[in-house]
Amino acid sequence: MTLSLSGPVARDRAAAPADTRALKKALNRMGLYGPVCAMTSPPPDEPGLDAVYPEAILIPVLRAGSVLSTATRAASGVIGRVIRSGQEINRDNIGRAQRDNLRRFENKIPANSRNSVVITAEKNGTITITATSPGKSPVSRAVYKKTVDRNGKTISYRKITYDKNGRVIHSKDKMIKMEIQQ
Amino acid sequence: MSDTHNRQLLLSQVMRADMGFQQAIKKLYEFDWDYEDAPVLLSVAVIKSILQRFLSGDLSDRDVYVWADALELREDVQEENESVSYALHALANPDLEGALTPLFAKQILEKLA
Repeated sequence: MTLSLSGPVARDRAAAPADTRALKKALNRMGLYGPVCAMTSPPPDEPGLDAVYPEAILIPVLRAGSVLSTATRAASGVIGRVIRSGQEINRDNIGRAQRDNLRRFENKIPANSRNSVVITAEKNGTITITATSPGKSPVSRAVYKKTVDRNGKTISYRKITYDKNGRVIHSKDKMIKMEIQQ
Repeated sequence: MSDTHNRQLLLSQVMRADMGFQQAIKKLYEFDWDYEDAPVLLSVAVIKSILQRFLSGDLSDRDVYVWADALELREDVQEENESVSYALHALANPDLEGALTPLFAKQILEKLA
């Protein structure tokens, strides 16, 4: 059995173990405890998710030599699955700075797109926020796609417009004055 | 003069669509996208003025599109109400909402009234 610490938690070792030991004991009692590959915690400035979900303690559970499941104990205490790059996530699972950015995004998108907001985890704690605004013709639509880094800074913001045949007619970078005509 | 003040001045210049407003748009792209200070208000009166200038021939449909495209989604712009938000979206997305024609401009003006 190995236990390795990575990231800020290694510097903050004293704070984390009590919770970890309790979890380890509980898993041991259930016969589910296996090699702990990585244990991380969020940095002090509360950034967003990492590819390996730093706001969680990752516990790959090994039984009979095969991976049966991977459990995640998030900072909130919620048990769930490991969040992978490209996976849709809940707004409760992103950092405060990213939530602020999400709020600004939702304030600015068209009213008919506000119920379509989807958040996707990307690598290195980055998230992509997407919303779709339907046009007057069926199938035509504008898709707003904003990428936000773990510190809540907008990295890119693109608007992709589809015509009534579902064909991309514009892909615009809203942060750089450049238009790609299809 | 602070960055915020400069940004607000440029935004006001763009909103008025004065001569050379396209140069002001280019300068706006030098600022960060993220913005949490006081936004510049895009009022009903401003949108009405733009549409009336289009109807009088002072601005082309292309001018109006470039103007709306530059302002839509910006975090440093606050639309006065939902009808302004709708109008800005419609003018910035002619492929979705329909090309700007005198008839469409009048329809938007009615919704703003």
